Amino acid sequence: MTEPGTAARRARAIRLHRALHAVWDTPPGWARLGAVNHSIVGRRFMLTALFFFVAAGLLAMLLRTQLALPLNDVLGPGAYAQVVTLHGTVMMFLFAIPFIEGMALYLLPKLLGARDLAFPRLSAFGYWCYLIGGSVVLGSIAFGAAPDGGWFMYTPLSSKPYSPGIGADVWLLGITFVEVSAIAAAVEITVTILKVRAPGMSLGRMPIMAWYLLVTALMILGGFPPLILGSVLLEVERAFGWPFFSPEKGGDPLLWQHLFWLFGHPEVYIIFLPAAGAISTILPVFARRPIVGYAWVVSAVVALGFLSFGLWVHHMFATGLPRLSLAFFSAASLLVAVPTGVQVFAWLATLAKGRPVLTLPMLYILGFFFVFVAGGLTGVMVAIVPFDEQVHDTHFVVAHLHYVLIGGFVLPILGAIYYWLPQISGRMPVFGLGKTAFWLIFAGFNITFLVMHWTGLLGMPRRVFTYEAGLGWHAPNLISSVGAFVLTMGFALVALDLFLQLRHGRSFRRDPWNAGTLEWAMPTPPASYAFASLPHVASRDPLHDDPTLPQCLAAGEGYLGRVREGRMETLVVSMVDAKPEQILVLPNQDRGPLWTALSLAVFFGALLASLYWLAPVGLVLTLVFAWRWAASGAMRADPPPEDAGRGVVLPLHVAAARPPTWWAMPFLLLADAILFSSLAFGVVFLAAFAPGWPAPSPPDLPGVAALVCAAALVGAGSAGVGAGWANRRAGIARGVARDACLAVAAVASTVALGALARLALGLAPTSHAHHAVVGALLAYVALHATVGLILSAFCLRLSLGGAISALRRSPVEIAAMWQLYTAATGLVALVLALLAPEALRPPEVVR
Amino acid sequence: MSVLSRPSGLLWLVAGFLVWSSAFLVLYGLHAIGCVRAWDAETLRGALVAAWGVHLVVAGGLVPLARRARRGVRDDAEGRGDAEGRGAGFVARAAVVLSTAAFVATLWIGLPLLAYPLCR
Repeated sequence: MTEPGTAARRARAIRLHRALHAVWDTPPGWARLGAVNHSIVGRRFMLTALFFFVAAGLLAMLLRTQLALPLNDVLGPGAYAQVVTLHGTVMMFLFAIPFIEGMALYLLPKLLGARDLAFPRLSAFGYWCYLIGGSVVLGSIAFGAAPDGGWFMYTPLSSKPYSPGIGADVWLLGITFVEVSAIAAAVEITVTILKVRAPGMSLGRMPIMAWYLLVTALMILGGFPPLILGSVLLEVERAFGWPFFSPEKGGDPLLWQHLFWLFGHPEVYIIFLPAAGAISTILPVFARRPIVGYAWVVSAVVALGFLSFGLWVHHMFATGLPRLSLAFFSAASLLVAVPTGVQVFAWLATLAKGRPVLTLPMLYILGFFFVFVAGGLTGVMVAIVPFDEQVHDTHFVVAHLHYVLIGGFVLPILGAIYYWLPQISGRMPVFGLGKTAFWLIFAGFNITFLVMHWTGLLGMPRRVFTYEAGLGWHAPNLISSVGAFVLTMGFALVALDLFLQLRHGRSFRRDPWNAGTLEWAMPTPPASYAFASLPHVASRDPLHDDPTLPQCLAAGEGYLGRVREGRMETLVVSMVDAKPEQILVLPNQDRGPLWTALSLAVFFGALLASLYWLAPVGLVLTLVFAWRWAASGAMRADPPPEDAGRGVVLPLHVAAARPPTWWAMPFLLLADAILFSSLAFGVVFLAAFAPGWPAPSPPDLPGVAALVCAAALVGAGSAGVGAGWANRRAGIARGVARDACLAVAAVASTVALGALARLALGLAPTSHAHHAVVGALLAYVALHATVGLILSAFCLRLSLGGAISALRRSPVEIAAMWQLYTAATGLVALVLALLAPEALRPPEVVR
Repeated sequence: MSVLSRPSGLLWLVAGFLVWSSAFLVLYGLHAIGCVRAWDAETLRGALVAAWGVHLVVAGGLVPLARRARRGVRDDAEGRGDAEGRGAGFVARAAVVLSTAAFVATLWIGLPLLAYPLCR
């Protein structure tokens, strides 16, 4: 290219940057409370998660100090129980998952060649929920009110009679609040990966990290609902005395274990997969060749996503289940090693066929290989039932889980931080502290946890605050404690190294690692809009194909290389082939997510403080802010298609049949359906297996009210679908039919609520689990009918205001999906409530 | 447009393991119900093996279907090149791998039925 051409291109790039910056930038100060940009929200998630990591690490130091000597008195039994519970809780719920979410939110648009996420405000809302909920959980220890029932909160220890304080409520409500954030992030990540990519980036050309994050997000949608349900049920038992887990009234503590581990085991893979995704991204860069077996690795990740759900009972091998039941889970536990092995061998093959360079991120990956494979092998050991029964609840299991979690998550994530920090900060490390820190961490970790296997084999149980001298546990415990302090020094050195890199690091031009993925196709630190124009992708390594791509994009030579009407825009593509479909108009600087999260905090806070009269106020406020949020993007006229650049003309997303908002609904309903399935499982489990059944007096559920409820739910579902159908073509008659259907749906939802209230009159939920589970089913349906009523009213309001048309139809279609789902689950819930408890009892006790 | 180019084509990636999930839950649930209701051993083992067999047939049936879908995508892409890079080609290839893996997994988790005592 000639000099004048280059100068003209640079001038174009600067003009475009200024125009985009004016639209996309979030100024400092109070405006940051309304920040929704993915870079800001992603960084916030990661920094907050790292703060929680430090806090939980300090708690671990307290634990190791206490256990260093026999009969030590640094912590008493009560304080030890709180510290050990918070250490696990904070590490799992407030560090690992949110860090992954933050990394995904920050990186995904940049990896996918988009300017932002599909729902920036949803991410911001999730962050505020996480910050508030997490602060309450961690802050509780300052008041001596922290949960103390273990990070898994087993019943009956966590039930009211045995944990009468507020600690268990802090855990149940605080973690549920944080899980709202996880579900929000999972929907965000799923829809963004499937729909908001660069044109040409078909599924086979996606960066492999996106595949890992997609599977992780879907696993969150599948794994978190059982725990949310369990937490809600346990909190209702503690607060109102509905005996789901109390065996003296027909409940069963094992139900909690099932619900918890239905979440808890996939959680391990939810944590591992993004870290493995980082390895699959970083390792090929430093092996100087593409990853071996891309399709095999993707297939292994999908398989792992499923298989990890078939392992939950392997945490319950010692609960007295029949051998055959255990064998199913033992078989699945062995099976899960296969897709993990596929990935490990793909990484080894990539190293073997490449020309590896030993950089600091690679050093952490090599550390991962050693530690994680060792953890995987001890995992196979505890998957064998007889061995597990020997080491169950001993320090062997503590050692195993730390090998898996630190090996499978912390080490690769440290590698990922060193790999991507230059992308975030625009600076490369200048001092050699990172390698020293790595060796301290590696040595400290193995000193701590390798010997801990032996402590466990010697029989030392978990969660005991001290031990007698003379049991042979002193020496290994002392070694573990010394190792833990070495490990902490390593982490402290990493913190110092990162600080020095951020403050004094060396600047670089672009792509310091010679990577091929798109996050390096932009100046660093990245601008808020990420790409000045969007690329057309033709391979998995677009930067290797065209090294001049960054300059072309900066000069606006890709898609959307302009600013029109002050709008923030990115592209929506088809799921599989990534053909451009829509222009997605994005919001900027909105405090709605903050207010919505604060309103929801009022609800959760009121429940925590037992101010039950205040809880509905929080819900109403949440509804008001959510309504304003949802209505804010409405348009009063059909927008015309617009030029998206490179000769492509596309509709705006509000005028598309299936915008990202539409796609969010099936995934949200997937999570909802899994929650409902977990509830149905709970009903069946208690009805068939719990002691103390049948109830002295069964619920009195009038058949007429049940029939009216069923008819009303079907009516609301049909009317919702009818509204969607009527709205698909323009015309006055169609418009009238749509509005009439919406009104009918609202009325039918109201009738269903009335019938549910009549059914509830026949319950005495505190008397027996039979009443309690029927109450839970009715409450589930009532909640959904209420949301259906609100959605129908919302659509009617938009319609009467001219914000709905045959083109702008997604609100009506979303409401239809909800009403249909409510009808389907409502009918199943009614059948379960009326028939299941009687039908499932063993023959000798069927009355 | 190939069937695998549509959003519903992505179901091919998960169909095999959905069958595996169903097999897992049905076997675990049926076994638990059978034991608590004190079904006689022959009935219970027969029901379990039948449920396992049905799932094996369905999971096994998905494999040739996935292979056929892949051939369809290849034919579709003939002459255009880069079938793997295009979304449908990649989905087709992964679908064959995943449905085969799911069939093997379904076979594996049912094997204890043939060796273990039922309700002890």
